Order: sequence, then structure tokens, then C-alpha cells
Amino acid sequence: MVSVEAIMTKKDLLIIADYSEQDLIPVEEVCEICGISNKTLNKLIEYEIIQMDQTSHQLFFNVAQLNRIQTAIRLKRQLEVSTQAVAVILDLLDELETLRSRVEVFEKHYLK
Amino acid sequence: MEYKDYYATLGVDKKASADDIKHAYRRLARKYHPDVSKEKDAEEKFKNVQEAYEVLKDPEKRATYDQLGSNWRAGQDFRPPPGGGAYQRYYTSGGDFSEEDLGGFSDFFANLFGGRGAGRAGRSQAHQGGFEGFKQRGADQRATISISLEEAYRGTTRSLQLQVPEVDATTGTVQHKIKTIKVSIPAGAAEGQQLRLAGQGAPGFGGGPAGDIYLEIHIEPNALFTLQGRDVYLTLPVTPWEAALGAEIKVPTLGGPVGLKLAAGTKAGQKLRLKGRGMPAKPHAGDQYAIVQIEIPTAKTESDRELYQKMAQQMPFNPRQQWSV
Repeated sequence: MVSVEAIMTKKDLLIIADYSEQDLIPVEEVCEICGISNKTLNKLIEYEIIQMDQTSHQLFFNVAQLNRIQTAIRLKRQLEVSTQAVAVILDLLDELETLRSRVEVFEKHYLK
Repeated sequence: MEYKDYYATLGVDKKASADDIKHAYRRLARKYHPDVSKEKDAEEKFKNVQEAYEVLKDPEKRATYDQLGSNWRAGQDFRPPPGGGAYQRYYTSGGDFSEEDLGGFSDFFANLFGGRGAGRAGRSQAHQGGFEGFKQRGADQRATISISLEEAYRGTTRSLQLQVPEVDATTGTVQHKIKTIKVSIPAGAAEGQQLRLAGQGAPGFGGGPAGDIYLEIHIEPNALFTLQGRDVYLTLPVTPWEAALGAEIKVPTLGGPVGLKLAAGTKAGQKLRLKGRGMPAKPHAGDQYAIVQIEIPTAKTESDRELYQKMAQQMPFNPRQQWSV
């Protein structure tokens, strides 16, 4: 939870936040934040762009899932590609990130 | 105000066809899209490309742009026509670019196509004339919190200040409020982990909700350790006799030094696992890996050289025996 306290001057505001206490975001709010319909969101789920917990009929999303949805929408819109292509792009970006991380380890610890 | 040559931005001729413009945009979007590009200033370049495409792909906007910019010469300043631009009702929902995209467009664009104060420096969307009935969510704000690897391991707190636009309830004007955020970061924070502060971003427009603040964690590089996921890597330099005969070595970890037993016959490049000594995580912590690096002492004296020669004579060893040369 985030607590907001107006304890400073009129111009300042203090927010106390804790990373370990993250709110889950309801599906309606996710759609509103991302500017998409429920149908579009379901399509992203159908293409496994975000992983859903199949057993619990998940109706809430965490921040990581929200960010992934925002990235997917941004890629789709700005690169003018299909949802399927976005799924491929995101998978490749994930793999690229893993490989970059492994190369960093390799260069720092094996190539001396 | 600086004139923006949209044709030059897309690298097309002024007489370019709609297809040429589309192809140019797609090529440059792939090159500079900030989610995929590692080019320097990719984000800024992508915004320029987006803005240029937004104007040139639309026949009416393109005509307006061509007409108003026709007398411009390189090096001159640009003056928009009096009374604002031709497009007061530019921002419609359902367009190719989101309101968030359009919010990043330049003052030049805003002056041509409407949307007062729509510069990239950050704007309030609460005071755009001619948009009655139009509801828009406020812009999100993002900030990065840089912490050391040790802080990510142990947990820490941070304070940061953000300037966020707010609409004064009494006067209706936009002011910038400083928000001080005190953040608690738990042990085991991960690179890229985000914290969302709902409704703390820029105010919405026309009754739309406020945007959010997103705080993203960045873990700074460490001189000794390299983080990969939840695991931590460390180079373990050893002497040839330690590798050959085995040894007990004290090894640093993020949680403090631990004893490591090097087995006799350890080879260079071998990866030794220290279970649970990586970053805290659920269901279980990451591991630390020590990568063995055998350091060869330099033969500095005659006595050192004799020692190496004796070893060469007494320990016949050919690491290249599999070669056919």
C-alpha cells in the first residue's frame, strides 16, 4: 500500500511507499491505463503475451504484467504489426536480455 | 521556434508518395524504437520520426504543413500563423498513436495542429482549448532509483523528489508540485523491478483520472560480482598449486565471507556453486558461482626459472596432444 501524507508545505507532498506491498490491479483498471478494450486484453492473453494463472481465473494483474501489456500495445501501435508479431518480438527481447546477461558474465569472468 | 523538417526526418523527398512515407517510417521505427533499439538517443529520434509520420501520413495535415512551411528557408526561425493552427480537434481517441505518444510531440507540432502547451517538457492536459467533453487520463511519470548490489541484497530506503503538474482547485491553473517519495526497497530487489504509485502522476483532463508514478530499480555494476537473474558470479583467482593440490579458500559473498573447499585437480574455468548465496528470492534464494581462474606466477628470478624448468622435466604434460600438428 502507498500512504500519502501532506505534511510539508502546500507545494510539497510526501509519499511513503513500500516495494514489498504492491497492490494488484483489477482488469478494468488495466484496460483503462493501457487505453484498450477487454477484447484486446483477452487477445494478448490468448497469444500468451502475458502469463495468466489458469487455475485461479485471475482478474488482477501485478505491475510487471501491466508493464508488459503497455509494451505490447506500444509495439503494436508504433511498429504497426500484428498481435502475433508482438508476441514474437517480446519473446525475442526476453531471449536477448538473457543472452546479454550471459555475455556479460562471460566477458567479465571467463575472458580475463 | 525551430522549424521541423519532417521530410528530412523520414529521409524522403517532398514529393514522396504515401507508400514511400509509410515504408520510411517503418524502417526508422524498427531502427529507433526504444523498446528494441540500443542506438544512442533512440527515444528522442523515435519521437521525431513518430511526429513526422503523424503529419505526413495524413493528407490534410501534410497539406497544412506544406502550406505553412513553404516559405521557410534553412536557418530561419519559424512563426506559426496567428490564431493557432488549423487542427484544434486533433486529439481523437482511437488514432494510431496514443494520447501518451502525442503528448511527447514538439511545440512546433502543437502550434501547427493545436493543443496549447503540448511541448515535450511536460505539459498539463487540463488546459487545452476547444476540447470540451473530451476525457483523457493524465500522463504517467517514471523515475529510476539506482542502488548498489549490496543494497539490493540487504534492502534499503531511498528518498527522491519528482515535479508533478497539478491543477489548483481554487484558481484552476496548473502548478508544479514537488512530491517527495520515501521508498522502502526490500531485500532481494531485482533489476527493472517497478513500483506503481497509482494516481500520483499528472492530472487527467476533462474529468479523466490522474496518471501514475512508476519507480524502476536499477542495480549499479559491482566491481567483484555480476548479477544474472537471482544468481551472482565471482572470479576466483587461485595459484597453480592450489588448483593442483586443493585448498581451503575464503570467498566473499554478498552476505559475508564463506569458506570454500577447492578440490585437488581443479581446472581453470570450472564453476563452483555456493548454494543459496545469491540474491534472496522466493521460493529459494539464488546461488553464487565462483569461476576458477588459475593465475600463473611470473618467473622473475633465475631461481624461479629453474623451478619451472624442473617442473617441465619432472611433470611431462602436453595440453596440445590432441593436435595433429
